[in-house]
Amino acid sequence: MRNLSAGRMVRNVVVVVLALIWLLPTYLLIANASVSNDTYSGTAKWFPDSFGLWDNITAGWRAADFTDAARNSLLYAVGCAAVAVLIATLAAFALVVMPIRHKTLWFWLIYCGTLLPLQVFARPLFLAASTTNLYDTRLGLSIVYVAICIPFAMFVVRNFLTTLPPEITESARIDGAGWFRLFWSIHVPLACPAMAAAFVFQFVYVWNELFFGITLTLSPEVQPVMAALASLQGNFSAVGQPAVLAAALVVSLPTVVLFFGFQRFFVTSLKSNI
Amino acid sequence: MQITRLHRTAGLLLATLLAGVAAACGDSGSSGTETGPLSLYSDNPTWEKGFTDAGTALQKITGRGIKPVSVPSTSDYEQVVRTSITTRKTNDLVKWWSGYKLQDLASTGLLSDLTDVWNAAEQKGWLDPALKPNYTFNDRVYGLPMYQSYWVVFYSKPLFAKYDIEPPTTFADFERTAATLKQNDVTPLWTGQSDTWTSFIPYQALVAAQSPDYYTKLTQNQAAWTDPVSQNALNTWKDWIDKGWTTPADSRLADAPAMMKSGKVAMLPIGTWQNSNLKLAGLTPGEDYGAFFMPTSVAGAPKSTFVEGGAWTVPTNAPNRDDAVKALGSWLDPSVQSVWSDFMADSSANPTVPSTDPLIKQIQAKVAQDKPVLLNRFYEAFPSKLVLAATTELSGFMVHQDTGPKVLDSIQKTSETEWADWKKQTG
Amino acid sequence: MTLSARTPRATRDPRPEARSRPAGERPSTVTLPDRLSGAAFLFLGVGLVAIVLLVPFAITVYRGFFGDGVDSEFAGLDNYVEMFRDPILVRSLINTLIWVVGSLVLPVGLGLAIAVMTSATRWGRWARLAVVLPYAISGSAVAVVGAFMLQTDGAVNQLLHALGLDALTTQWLLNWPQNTISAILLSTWQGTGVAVVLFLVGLQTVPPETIEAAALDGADGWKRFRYITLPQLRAVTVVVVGITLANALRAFDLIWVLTQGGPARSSETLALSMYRETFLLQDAGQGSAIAVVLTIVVVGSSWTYLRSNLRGTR
Repeated sequence: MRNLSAGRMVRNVVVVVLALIWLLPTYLLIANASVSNDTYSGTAKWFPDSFGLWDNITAGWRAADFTDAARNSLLYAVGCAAVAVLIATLAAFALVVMPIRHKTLWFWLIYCGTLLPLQVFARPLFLAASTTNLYDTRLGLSIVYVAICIPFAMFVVRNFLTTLPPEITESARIDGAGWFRLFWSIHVPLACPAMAAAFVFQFVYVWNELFFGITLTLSPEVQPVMAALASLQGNFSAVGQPAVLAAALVVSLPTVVLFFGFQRFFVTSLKSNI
Repeated sequence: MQITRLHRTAGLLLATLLAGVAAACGDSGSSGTETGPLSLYSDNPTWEKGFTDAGTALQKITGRGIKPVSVPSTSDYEQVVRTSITTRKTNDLVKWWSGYKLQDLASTGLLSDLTDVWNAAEQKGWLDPALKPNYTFNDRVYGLPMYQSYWVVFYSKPLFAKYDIEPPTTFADFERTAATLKQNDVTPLWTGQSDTWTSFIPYQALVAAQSPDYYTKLTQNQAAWTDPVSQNALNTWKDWIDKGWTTPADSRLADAPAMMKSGKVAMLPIGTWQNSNLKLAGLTPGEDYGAFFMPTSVAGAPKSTFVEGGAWTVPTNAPNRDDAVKALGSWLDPSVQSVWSDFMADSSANPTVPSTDPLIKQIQAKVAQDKPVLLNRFYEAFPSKLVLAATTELSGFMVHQDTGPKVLDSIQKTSETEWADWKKQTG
Repeated sequence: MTLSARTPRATRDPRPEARSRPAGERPSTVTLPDRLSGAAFLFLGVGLVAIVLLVPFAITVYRGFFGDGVDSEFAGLDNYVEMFRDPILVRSLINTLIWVVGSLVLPVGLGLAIAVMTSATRWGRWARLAVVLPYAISGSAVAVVGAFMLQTDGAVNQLLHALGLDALTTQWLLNWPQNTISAILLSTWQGTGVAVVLFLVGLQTVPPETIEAAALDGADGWKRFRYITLPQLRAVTVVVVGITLANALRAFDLIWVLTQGGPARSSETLALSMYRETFLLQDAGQGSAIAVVLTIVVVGSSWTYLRSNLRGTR
């Protein structure tokens, strides 16, 4: 028993120290987003001597109009992540459950997509987008996002499906269930946590994506929120650094909220399943 | 039940995708428009309001305004422009750089010839003929100046007043000023290489202070990088770093105005386009900060200043190409330029348009009085690849100052291959 | 789920080819309808990835056999030879390898430890939140945080100074290899949350008592963790390592915003070198050659990992 509590204490101390290390940069970020533009001195402040968070947010918001961009990004992040996870789950189901040939080949064909550096695609994709008139359209950017999101989502869901006992499939097949029925009524409900995890990651990825957001789009009606955020920075910054930080914090809120919600989902699915 | 639901979902999904593709492919004739504003492409979202306002003034003359669109990252912007001008998906007006960067783009044959526009503007006295070489490739003009920034040293007036310093007029003065500031725990000079390109700032200043002629020859591949002038420049720079006169090499330009405002740093050598950023940090020109030209360091050396002007270009593939060329004919019109230079808080490229900013006015007067040699700033003064290689080497020098001779050797070597490539490219 | 939690099958091999086939069925006996429905399930995934990602990649690779933008003559392997002669590109390769090792040790190791340690206590979720939070923060804010922490007069050096450890202060972003290590640490700060969340998904298949005991009790607990919990996490470990490997090798954004690969290209990784050659220097040939080498490294190491992972279970 004594042994146990000693172990618990060591563990608790380690957890607390790690959490503090992790919180330190986050704290600096919030503290300096709160420094008013007038007192910002070009280097990090530990203790802000003024409070200008709301002013900074307003200044940032006014300098780059985030409203449209945020709506676009919400659409891209929810839509593309959901579509990608669905397509990826279909593929993962085929790769794990169905009796098809060349599974290794198909697996690597999809998985390769997550291994290649994104910058490789930029030029050919731009040229392709402009010849098909998909350049600077929501659809064009969405197709690219969906494709980029598929490999990782497939990987996550596939690996989860491999942990399911094959008896599930076998008994259902003996009962005469078709593949679609099997997929939809047995595997999808079981794979929900993995699908949710994949969705969250892809949501965050799309929300934070900047490179294709500015390479494949042009008009404010189509551009994602990170493009608007990036427009606050650079040599000809329209606002001071604290406002840039404040805007960056606000723009990060949706993903933080998603993580909060996700953690809840986790706890409940943990309880219900075991 | 569940099967039909899946079928419906999947069917719907596919239908949406296909319908989308079909719809997108359908409207292929979206290139040219008869009326409406011309599309303008830049890497600077914060200028969009200025472009729109200048466009309104332009519309009164030519009938068509400006609708700006921008890419917020310069390196991505370059890439998109280079790729897009080969297609019909390009814009009517494209912001670019002058000098070799313009020649580089013009050598693709995808930029419209603006020689007549330039000549007409020059005849009206709207352009300084001295700038023409910066916009010329193979005797034809392919760009028009967007603005006119001079490179100065901004200084903190409160700090200078506190330590009883006058803006230096000689190089010895400048070094005395720096020493005084350093004694009082103020870092005299902002320098940094976090943005990579900023590493050329001290180099170009120290070279031009000795010999504008050498700099010009260097930009024409008629002088060596290993020349004593360059060596002296790096030696002086090393001396400054050793004495702690410069900010650490990882300082960011974005923080420079705030550093000056909080009294950490006293001087900022940069183009006058930085004026608007200093204002933004809450500083008032003339009160909180002033500006002076870097003094010459060699007796008898002519005065010089670096200029920077950007460039308007019209791609040959532009949907409204003729109207865009016509619009550029009126871009330098005083009624357009006064709107634009007020927005920029910087000089207009049209010398007949006065600035309304007190500090810029002062700088313009000083230029008119001293008639310094106008040098194109480093970034546009060499083939792009050479600029990139040189700024990379110089940023290394900022961290390891004992590598001076090696740095110059290496730039010289790159310069030989890059100039050879350049000749091949431009034939 | 309920079943998988306790059956030994949960630890079954996650390798691609070891998927459950209906008992006794061999690939040659796959019926046409099954094959057709298999194709239907795979169609969208394979199709989209192939068209949007693989075809553009092939075009880029093809470009690698030609010279730079000027004359674009067929250059054979010149671009590749050139690459291994350039000391900067060799260092870039070394940096890439440091990234791989660093990312496997830090985010994966810490992620597993944090997931296990925090899943056993109620307040652990708050500590977990602290770790997961940076993952949700956008790249540009991370860049500013990085500068705040790591600049010469930044928070890290201030802290070291305050603790009397002046000997440890250094110009984190300016000297090699500190700048590469700094970037990895920043990436760990931002990215460990992914590993934590994924390990949590995996821990759902492990009975909580096992984790609790393992996390608490000295040597015995460690053994239990090593031989009971860890094997059950194998499937998710494959995902975490696979993803970490790919991300480390492609590391771009964070380095770009932190140092732009400098000073003097000392913190460049292959992804940055490729970007520089292709887009800043307009040398598509050389850039493509680097892209190919990078791809060989990424796909090769992932392949090796996934395969050796399969051998380990036999």
